Amino acid sequence: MAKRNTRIAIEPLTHVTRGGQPYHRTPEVEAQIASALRLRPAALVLRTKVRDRNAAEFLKEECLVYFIRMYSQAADLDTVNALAHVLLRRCALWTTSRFRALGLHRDEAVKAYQDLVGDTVDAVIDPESDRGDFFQVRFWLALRSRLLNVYDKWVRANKHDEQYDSLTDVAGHSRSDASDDPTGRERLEERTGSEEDLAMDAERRMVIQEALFAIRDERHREAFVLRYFEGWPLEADDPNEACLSRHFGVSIKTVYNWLQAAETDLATWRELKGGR
Amino acid sequence: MKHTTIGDLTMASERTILDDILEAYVASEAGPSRTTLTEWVRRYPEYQQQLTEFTARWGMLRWLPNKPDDKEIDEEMLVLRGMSTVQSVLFRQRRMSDQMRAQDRTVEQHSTPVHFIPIEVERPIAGLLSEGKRLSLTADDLADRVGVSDGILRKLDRRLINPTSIPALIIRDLGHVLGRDVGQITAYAQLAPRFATGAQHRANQAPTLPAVQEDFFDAVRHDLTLSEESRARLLSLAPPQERSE
Repeated sequence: MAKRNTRIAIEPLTHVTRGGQPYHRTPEVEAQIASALRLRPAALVLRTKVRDRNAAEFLKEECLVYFIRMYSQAADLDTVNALAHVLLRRCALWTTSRFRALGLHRDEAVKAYQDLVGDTVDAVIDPESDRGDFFQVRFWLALRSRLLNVYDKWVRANKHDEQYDSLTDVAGHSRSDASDDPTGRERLEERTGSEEDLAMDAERRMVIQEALFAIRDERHREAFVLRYFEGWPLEADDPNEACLSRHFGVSIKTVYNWLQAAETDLATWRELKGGR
Repeated sequence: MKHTTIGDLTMASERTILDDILEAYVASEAGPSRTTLTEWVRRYPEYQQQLTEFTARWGMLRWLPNKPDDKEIDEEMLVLRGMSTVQSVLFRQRRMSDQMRAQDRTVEQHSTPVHFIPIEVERPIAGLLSEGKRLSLTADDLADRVGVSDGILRKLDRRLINPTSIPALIIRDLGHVLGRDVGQITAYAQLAPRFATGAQHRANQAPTLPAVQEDFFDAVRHDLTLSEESRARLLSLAPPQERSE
């Protein structure tokens, strides 16, 4: 039997982004991989049980992905399963709750989560490609990105082409609430918050975040978040610039009405909260 | 069997490009936001809508709080379901690499200077039995899966059966098991009959092939190795006017 090599090289990442940037793991991840490479599979699995992120023995998710790929290529499926189990335990609840927050029902969210697991593992262990490399660079960003891809497929598969305008009418916010004059656009921009307002203190944002579910209509909520938390304008002259009316495919007045409706929901919520 | 169309391939390729762009966007130093979006739309104007939707959802994902009843979701159930998905992916990947290895072995055996056989649709079928062998299927395995006897399979392999008499279901099942298009199996069946691979012939006797290809249903009727049940099932595939014969 050959003598065990004491220095095992870390497999380099090979993926290069569309912008020509090669991927690199962080030094911290590289160090964790290097320290764990010496371990036998059973010891490695034991080490992955450490859940305290501040502990010296803790292995980051990027590191787990590296070893899942490595042991998959070595056809050691027991170790792959054990590592995948640890990884799932770290992200299953977060993933499902994010799908739920985006609007999927509970059963849908669980199925979407399974799709995401399949999509991720498929990319990570594919021996013929490096399409899962990003998971070894920034695991949570990669997961978030794939989550949105899976969500997009769900939305496309279950498209509910509702008429935004008619919905706002049903909700009791007619278009005539907004100004009809040609300068209405500037006024609406002013009325929904200046740049200073958008940079408002984080504390207020936190309070509003708590109240987000008080905004009953999902589109109103999305418009509200994009406007006040992400700083999207109602409308933009530059066709390349993102703006709410173009994003939703509705008039600036409709967006304004949605924001007003969201404010009304929030005011009701505040009253109820204050009355408790 | 579902056929992959050019439209499917174009959509898949488009999706891959988009996924690449979105991943690069996420991996960029500033990350997705309304301000960085403008620059990315300038770079990839054809994906403006997708980039914008992605950015909006990225922002939503950051801000939207968990639903209050999320606490009721059973973590153990999620992990188990996730593991079940992992098993499926591992199984699929393992099967694919086995097939790749089988392909490589066939290439080595024939000493063909081909290094990679990526697209099944472009590689002609050398033989039904050899196709099965590439997938680690013995003649018995293949016959079982298609529901014919070993003898009939070998006749199909040597194209001793009249192609117009072969039921569409048998063509479809052969294609399905061998991972081939129905059109490719049909085209193979329409070629001239051939001798069995590795057949030995006496030096003083020229090898001959039957002057007329046999009808598929005649072959079924005369095959002594078929069970009555299999024979009845195969004969039920005959056009109505031939069933009474």
